[in-house]
Amino acid sequence: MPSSRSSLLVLGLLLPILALAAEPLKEVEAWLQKMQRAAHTLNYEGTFVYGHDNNLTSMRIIHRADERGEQERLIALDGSGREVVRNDDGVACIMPDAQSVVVESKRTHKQFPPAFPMRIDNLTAIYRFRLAGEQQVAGRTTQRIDIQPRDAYRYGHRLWIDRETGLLLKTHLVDEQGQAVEQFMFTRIRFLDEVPDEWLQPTVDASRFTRYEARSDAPLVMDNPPGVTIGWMPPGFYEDLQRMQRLPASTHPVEHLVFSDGLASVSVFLEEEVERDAANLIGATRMGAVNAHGRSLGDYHVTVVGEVPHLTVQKISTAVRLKPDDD
Amino acid sequence: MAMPPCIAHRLSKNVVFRQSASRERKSRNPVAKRQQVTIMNDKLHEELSAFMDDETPAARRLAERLSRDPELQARWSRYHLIRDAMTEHLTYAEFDIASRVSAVLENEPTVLAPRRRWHLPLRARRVARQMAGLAIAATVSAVTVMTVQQQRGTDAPAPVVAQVAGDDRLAMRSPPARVVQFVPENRQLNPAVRSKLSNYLVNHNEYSVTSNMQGVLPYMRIVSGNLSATALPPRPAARLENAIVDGK
Repeated sequence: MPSSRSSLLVLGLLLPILALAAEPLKEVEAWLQKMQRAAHTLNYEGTFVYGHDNNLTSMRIIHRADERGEQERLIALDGSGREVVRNDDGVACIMPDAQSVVVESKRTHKQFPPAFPMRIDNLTAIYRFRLAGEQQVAGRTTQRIDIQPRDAYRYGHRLWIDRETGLLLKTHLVDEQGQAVEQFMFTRIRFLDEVPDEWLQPTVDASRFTRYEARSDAPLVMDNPPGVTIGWMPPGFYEDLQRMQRLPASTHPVEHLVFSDGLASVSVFLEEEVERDAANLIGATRMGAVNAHGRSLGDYHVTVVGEVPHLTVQKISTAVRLKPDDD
Repeated sequence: MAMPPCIAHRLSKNVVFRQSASRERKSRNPVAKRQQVTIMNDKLHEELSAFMDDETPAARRLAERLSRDPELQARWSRYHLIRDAMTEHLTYAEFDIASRVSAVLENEPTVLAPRRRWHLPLRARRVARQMAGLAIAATVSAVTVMTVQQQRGTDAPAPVVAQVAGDDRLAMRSPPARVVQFVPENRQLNPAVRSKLSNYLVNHNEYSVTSNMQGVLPYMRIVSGNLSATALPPRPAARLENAIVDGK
């Protein structure tokens, strides 16, 4: 009798705790949803610093979202004059220091960007989510959220989300040791009712720069498309997209596969290897949080790119196999 | 889970005490104005390193200052370098770390030898100690890094080469990759490879969930320029015609 009474007591104590444990997850989910909406619906102008490795860059951003769609302009404040102008049709990177413009038209933007999983239930098997209190960023109150991967195949996130608007004001991408491999932080932010058109126009005259862009006359089908299998993916990764496309400054089509676990994405690029193309990456490289790994595969070249640890891109890259009937 | 931030500082405090005290005794050559500047810089530099630790009330002000001040940016880079060396993040080991560390030492003379200690506020002296400690700690870690490097077999992945904005000499100085299979950081990549990777990255960003979630973030990588097409291959003029977009 006393034992059943005490187990009842234990149960009585446990139930509210269990209920409480589920609560923060709901709250995290709500914050992430708010953040995602905010990234594509707000008008703002501000300055942020972006750091990775040994590098720190300050940039100005102008973002507009209205019935005409979403428009964005990024200006490097390092004197290089670099700008990125982006709208629903694509993105143009203007690089005065290289006298070049790289344009990528987004042909499939209707299907994309993929929706952030509104339910994080599916993600709890691979990540831990935690509400980490309120902190000040750029003079605003933010909600900090920590997302920690349960394995070594992806990075963790620390997110500082503006409590009022939901905009991501600061973020750390962290490796296994908890070290930030990439950081981003607004130092100044202004939310606006309207953004004038001229703010979104690049100040650099790029008309005389070399223009690199997808050529519309290039064939969209490979003569001999590779049938590939990818023998390994980190747990929880699924195929998001498969498309053929042309890269700027390239004549041959490239097959682009995107895989994602809902938070991290990895791209696998496959193209025909034209007589040991010197432009192909062999081995690994990285930039901040982005890792890449490339290798030859029969008549093709595989390049894996993603905001995941080196280990992950390397394992994926080496797991790409040509199907036996395709030679 | 999370590594205590800015370990270099914490570790350094113990080591440094004696050293900096003796230095303080040696040098008595007061130049009041300069000293004031030094103290101001000390404060700034202390805040800068605290900023690296993440949360300080001064973080915002500092970030703003950082965005305008190239000298401070360079210092920020050095602090990171030292911290990474301390925490045995050997990613930077391949390039000439010794000269980087000596550069740190050269750049901290005012801090290492504060004048007229009776005029120095306590805080500034504490910073001086910390800085001296940092430098010493960095030297120690440089030794560690090099030792570890020697122990690495040739089949180990070559560490990634560090880079500081605008400092191309680093890449020139770094030895060629010893491991054929493993290409170190983009500075050593052939320009054509770098350019192609940039294109891949732009494409990846357009379709990445992470990009969608973070909005602007992915493009920073391009503007910030490491992987960017600083050395895009020259394109024959004749083909430019074809390159013009669909005109939309």
